[in-house]
Amino acid sequence: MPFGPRLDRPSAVGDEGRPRETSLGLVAATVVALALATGVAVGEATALTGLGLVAGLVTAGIALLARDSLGQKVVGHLLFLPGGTFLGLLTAVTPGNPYLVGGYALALLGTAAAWADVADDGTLEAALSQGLLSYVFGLVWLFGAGIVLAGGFLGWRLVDGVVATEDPTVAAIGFLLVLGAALGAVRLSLEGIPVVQLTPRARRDAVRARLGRCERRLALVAVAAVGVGLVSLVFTVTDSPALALVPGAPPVVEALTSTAVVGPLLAVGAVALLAAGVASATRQVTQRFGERKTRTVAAGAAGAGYLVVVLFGVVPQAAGLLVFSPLRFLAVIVLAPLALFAALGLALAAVRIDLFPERAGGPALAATGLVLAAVGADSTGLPAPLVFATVAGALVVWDAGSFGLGLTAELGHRPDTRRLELYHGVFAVGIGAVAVLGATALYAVRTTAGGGHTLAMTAAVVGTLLLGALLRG
Amino acid sequence: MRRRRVRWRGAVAAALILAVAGIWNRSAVLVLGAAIPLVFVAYGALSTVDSPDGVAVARTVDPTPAPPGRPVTVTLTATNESDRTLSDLRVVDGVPDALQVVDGSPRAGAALDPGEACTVEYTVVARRGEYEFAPPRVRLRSSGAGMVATAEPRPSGDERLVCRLDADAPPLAERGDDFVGRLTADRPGRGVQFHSTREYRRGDAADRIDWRGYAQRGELATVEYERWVSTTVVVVLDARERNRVAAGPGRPTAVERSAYAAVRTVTALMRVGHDVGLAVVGRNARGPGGLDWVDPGIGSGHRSRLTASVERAVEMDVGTPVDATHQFRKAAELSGPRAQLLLVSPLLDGRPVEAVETWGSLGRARTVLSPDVVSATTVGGRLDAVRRRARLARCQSAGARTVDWRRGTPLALALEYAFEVEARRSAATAGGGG
Repeated sequence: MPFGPRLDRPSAVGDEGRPRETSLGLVAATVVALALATGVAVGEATALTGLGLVAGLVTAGIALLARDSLGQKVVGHLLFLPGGTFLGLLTAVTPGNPYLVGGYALALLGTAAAWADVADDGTLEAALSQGLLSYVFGLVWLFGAGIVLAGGFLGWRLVDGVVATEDPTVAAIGFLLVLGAALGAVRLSLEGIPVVQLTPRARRDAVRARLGRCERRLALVAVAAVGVGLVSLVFTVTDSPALALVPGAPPVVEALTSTAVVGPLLAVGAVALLAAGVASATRQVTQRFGERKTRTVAAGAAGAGYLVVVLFGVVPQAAGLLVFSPLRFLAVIVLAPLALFAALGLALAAVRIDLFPERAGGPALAATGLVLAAVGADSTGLPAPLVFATVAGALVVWDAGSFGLGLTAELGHRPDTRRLELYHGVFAVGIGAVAVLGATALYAVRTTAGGGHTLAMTAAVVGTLLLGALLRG
Repeated sequence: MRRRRVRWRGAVAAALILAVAGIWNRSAVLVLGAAIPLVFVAYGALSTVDSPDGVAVARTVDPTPAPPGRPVTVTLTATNESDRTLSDLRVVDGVPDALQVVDGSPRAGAALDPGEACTVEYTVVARRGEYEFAPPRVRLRSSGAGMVATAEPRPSGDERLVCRLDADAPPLAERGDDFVGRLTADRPGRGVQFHSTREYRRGDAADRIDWRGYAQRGELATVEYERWVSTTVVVVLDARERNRVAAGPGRPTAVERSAYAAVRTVTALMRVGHDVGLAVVGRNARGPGGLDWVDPGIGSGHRSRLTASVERAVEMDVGTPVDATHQFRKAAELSGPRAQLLLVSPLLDGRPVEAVETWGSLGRARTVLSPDVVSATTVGGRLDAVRRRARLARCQSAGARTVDWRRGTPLALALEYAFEVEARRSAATAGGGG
């Protein structure tokens, strides 16, 4: 394979031909040709096909969420939720009739889903449940990042105040708090850093004992520093000059609160926390997960990924568009995925109540999208043959797609069935072409005759067809 | 059997949606467009399919009878003998549940013109027994795929796969050129393993002249090989409970493969004139020391007794546990001091290796023939494979000749390779000596 995992499991792939490849090729060609033709008719050729890339990424995300490994799941999350949200927003903001744009978005999504074979009950449920989990983690990361930023800002102000203040008492209190925080960070990080494990086995007991003593002392000094600092806050609310009265204290305090001392102190604390975080993360990533834990960790990692995508991908774009309103932006970021989950939930319900066939959900979705697109195309005033072709395309997509997927279900992946699929596809396209030509001819007759006979003509056509079907049994 | 499938409910729904939308929008285009899905509905309803009686099916199973573990190719051909084109023919062969398809697919789909045929070819691994193939399922669909006709015609040709331990063992009366069973003695004569060189005598074959020595010294010399002699060989079949494992579902167990190797070896040894006996380790029998023991002998009747004993070893239900160490030792005792011991074991544990080492301490000539049943597609399987190779190496270091019979390699070929290696070693020795 060129790169990455194949999306269409089960994986007896790549050896002797692939049933449904030809059928789904025909489906994809039909949808893309209709989207291009419609784009040309509305004056922007690639307006609709541009949705295809995002639809494909969303489908890939859904397929990867059904996998077992951590990496694939994380990539699946990063494709599914951001991609689905983006597809929804793109569909909403693309100019044109909403039925037309939404219909083609659905058709492209259905085509991709048919290729990846993901429109079944289990896969949709997995995508929904895991997507929701990663969404919750994303919110946690978002609020967690907010809290960390706020804490960092306050800490910065404290340090800045300590370094800049003229009052030696306040400076000393600030220094004690900074010292307590730095030593506390080092003490905490010792829990995560594998010092004992990295020591030669013969010296581990000695190192473990020394480490225990070190931890106790660090904790004691940190607590003492913070405690003394907090108690000393009393001096700041009284008029007592405190340290200013102690001979020689002000220069010492001034030296201790200089940037040269506070800076390295904070750096030591930050590096210790960073090292402990990296060690813990490495330990988590390299250990063997059960299925449930893999899901949770993948969702957690993806939540962090969402934050990165939002901060470094979406925010600069939104700010660049001069439409940046923090509250509105936050509302869109938080609420838009919910619409995606609602749509996915509806699709799952449709599969469960057999509104969409489970085995051919992709072609059914694509055909539904094309029917909606036909309604939109008519509302936009596009030429009648194009509307007829879109309707016929929906039927061809359903026929060829469901035939190909049924073929795989019955014969498996290995037999070569290209000729069989082509035979069926040619018939489907032929019937569609005849139907389009017939409808166009009737429409032309109706137009030249001055109108008013449409219902009668349609009734005659429908009656003939039904009669033929009934006679044949 | 013919039945109609509901495929176009969605088309009817699409027609309704378009009609309602057309009326709502007062659009003639949509109302007219609502007829298009109905064209497909009518197409599905009007297209029919005949019964698949016009499809002739033939099956070949090659080879049958086959020995255990042998890949067997099954070919199923469906021919359109009617005068109409079959737009959608799907054939699924009735593979017995106990057999596993290891290559190809027993399913196919095709569109066939009159007189045209499609072929399904797949490979199964033979397991001991007789396996009846079910009739293939032939399914025809109408061009709109709205009607399905199914039949299970009886195919001409082979209907079963027969797998026997002595499937490809040649009759004893034929004297072939198998290398199996050729035992060498420390005397010059015909053979493959280098023994010595002597002065050239008129009439010696040109391929036995030591040409390298002639180039170095300018004197003609003739290479002598170790002479083949007839001896007594006791085949020790390791049929213990722990060897009743297979590399995967539908594959022969290690005991089946060992049994086949034993039967094949017994036949080959007898063909070159050796007396052959048999000891089955792993079952409680009425023989001496609880062994299923057959005294060394020769002839067709004797081979039948040996084969029957091997068959019993494969079929037996494991009852009470046996003391395998005792049985291995007993086999060496019963075989007599001059007999050579040929152990057939998959070497899935260390017990056979200990037996080989014990036999070595008794001064017996030993050969180990080990069928490989370990699957190397998993981490555990690879570990087992490494352990097995380590056991083979231990057998070699204990002085035994070893033959590693890998899966997918015919036994005769594995033996041929083993003897070719012996011959090359011999030639190298001859070259060095020259």
